[in-house]
Amino acid sequence: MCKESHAIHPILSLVYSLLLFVMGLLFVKQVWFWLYLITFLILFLLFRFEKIIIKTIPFILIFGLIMAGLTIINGNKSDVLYAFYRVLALGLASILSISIKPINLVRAFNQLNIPRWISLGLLIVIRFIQIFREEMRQIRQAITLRGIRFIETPILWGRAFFIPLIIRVLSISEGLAISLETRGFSTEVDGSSFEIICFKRRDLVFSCIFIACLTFYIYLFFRRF
Amino acid sequence: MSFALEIKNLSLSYDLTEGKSDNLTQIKSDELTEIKSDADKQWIFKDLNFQIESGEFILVAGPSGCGKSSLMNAINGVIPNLKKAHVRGDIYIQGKRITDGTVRERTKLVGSVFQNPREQIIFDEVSDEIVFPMENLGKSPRKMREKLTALLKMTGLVANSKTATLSGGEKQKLITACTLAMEQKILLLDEPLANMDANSAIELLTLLRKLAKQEDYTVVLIEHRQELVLPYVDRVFSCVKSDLENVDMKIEIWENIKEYQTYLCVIPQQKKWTAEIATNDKDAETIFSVKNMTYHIDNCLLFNNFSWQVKRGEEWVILGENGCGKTTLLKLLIGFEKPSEGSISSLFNKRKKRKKIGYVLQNPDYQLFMPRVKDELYLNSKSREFVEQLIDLFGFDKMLERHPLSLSEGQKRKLGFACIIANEPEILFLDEPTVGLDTDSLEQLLCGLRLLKQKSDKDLTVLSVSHDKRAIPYLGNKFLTLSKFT
Repeated sequence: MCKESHAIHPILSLVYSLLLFVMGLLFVKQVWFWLYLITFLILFLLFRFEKIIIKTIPFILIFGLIMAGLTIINGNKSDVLYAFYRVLALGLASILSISIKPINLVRAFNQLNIPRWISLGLLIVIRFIQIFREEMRQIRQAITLRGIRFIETPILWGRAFFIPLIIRVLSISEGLAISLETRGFSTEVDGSSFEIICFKRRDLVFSCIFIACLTFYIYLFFRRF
Repeated sequence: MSFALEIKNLSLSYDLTEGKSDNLTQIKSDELTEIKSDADKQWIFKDLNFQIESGEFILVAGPSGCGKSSLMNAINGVIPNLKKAHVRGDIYIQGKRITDGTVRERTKLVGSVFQNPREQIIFDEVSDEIVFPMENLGKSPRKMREKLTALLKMTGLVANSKTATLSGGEKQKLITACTLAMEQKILLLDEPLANMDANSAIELLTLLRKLAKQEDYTVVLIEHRQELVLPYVDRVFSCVKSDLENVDMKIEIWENIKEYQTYLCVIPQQKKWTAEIATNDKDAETIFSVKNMTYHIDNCLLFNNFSWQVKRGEEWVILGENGCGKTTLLKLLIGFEKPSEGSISSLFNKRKKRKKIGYVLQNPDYQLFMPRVKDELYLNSKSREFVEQLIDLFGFDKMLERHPLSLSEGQKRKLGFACIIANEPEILFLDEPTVGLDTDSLEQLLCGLRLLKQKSDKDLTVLSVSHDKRAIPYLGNKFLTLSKFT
């Protein structure tokens, strides 16, 4: 049975995300770069990615400003602008990749007979980033609860942050490894899929518009040569 | 006749060092090396022998850190395949020798539920977590759907809930459901009830009993909350201190549960501590005031128009089923979470005043970071004398120079608690402080709490979250029961 979902097929999302990033990097020096960004943002809004866009914007703006700030040290005005644009290109590409549900990506890979150690490895990496973020939050809270402040005792604060973080990361890695082994995960056996991740009409419509827009910008880019 | 599980002369040691160099080690005989290692090594257990028949429900009981989990890990193959240790002897499952088998091979026969469920969750949705082991075993989608529905009904979990937002008890239910989904006929469960509320624990125990009696499952359960488990089990394997000098524990098998219950009643530690009912001053100042608070997480409503007051010197125990928001309430009071609507006022909002709050977390690993147990205890402590009292009470004197994170889970939990109370807080938050603690450790913890109360001249305010019936009467005299919104 094929699952109903608003998301785009995970493999398409992954491929389009990479394309958007690479093309974005190529287009940063074009006068129409803003148009490129706006076109795909409108496409994403049409396909109900608004929540992810809202969540992504603050991170991209902060990261973009940091990168632009670092470029000021050695670069001129246009270099600073291009550094900021590169981060915007990354942000645009990340909207699609963030929308991927990791388990659906694994299932889609399995359906394409991609080895399970690759798909599961990818899944663990994606999950580990989320776990890592949560662990850092918990440790910061624990430090506050023991009354340690960075301003007063920076070395102690560093110790209180990094030692539990290392221990937790090691402990979680071990826990996940044991969890995988004791739940019958094997690279030698194919296993089955609870849900079939299939291509839908929505994917087709999205792909047609996406490819048309991207082709148009590629044409604009190469026309000047 | 073959047993479901048979252990023959099983020995385990974490001491992996070779023997001291002398003339004997020059001879490269396996037998001689073995004899020499035996003399040198400290064994967790040595030459264990027991058999368990199909359909039996076994309780493994014993003090924290005695080696119960190590025994379980030696059976399911985590030791020595994933955790290094020296294992000797034979393990038979349904008559088949599996001593040299990998974890994956043993997993086909034995299902395992480990401690620390948080570290074992792989996926971000409940349904994905439960179907994952079934996918690995190649089950059909129809069969997976049926099993998933049954397990969700049994655990009360919601299929599309985010695993990150589950409470400790719900995570434990989830991990147990994952193991049950695999349908192995032998189940090893390491403290699966630790964070569960009484109703959920009874539901799980009833299910395990039913599986054992009606479907011939063999269940081996490690648990400290014996009063809850004993009515359901057929035999008790009690881990006690070994008579041998270089061996930590041995197993005493109790065939008669009533005799074992009688034995538990006569052991002296059960009667050492007594409840102190504090008399609260009605005119005491209000420390926390919650007014018409509403709080929801991921569209799940936890508090709706909730109001509550905590006065100085009061001792509250927050009760309620798993996932009803007990820990969240503590976090709201301390300011780590913000209410969606309404307000919380606190006397300790300012950063400087926050130092007067002590918070014992569910997981002690987050609060231990100093190089030695001694440093951890003296960090921010107010009185050297009080710390010495705590060292004496908790028996830390022999481990003062050790790294805190090298201690066993039970010892870490006690150390985490001791470090917080050594700061002599005015308000103490205890989040499931007794999880995984045996009766002796529980007694130490409650004595520590009493010492702190004496020191604070009954001015100490305590807010505890607990499911542990052994401890609840001693943690407070006022009770707040939360329930889930349906």
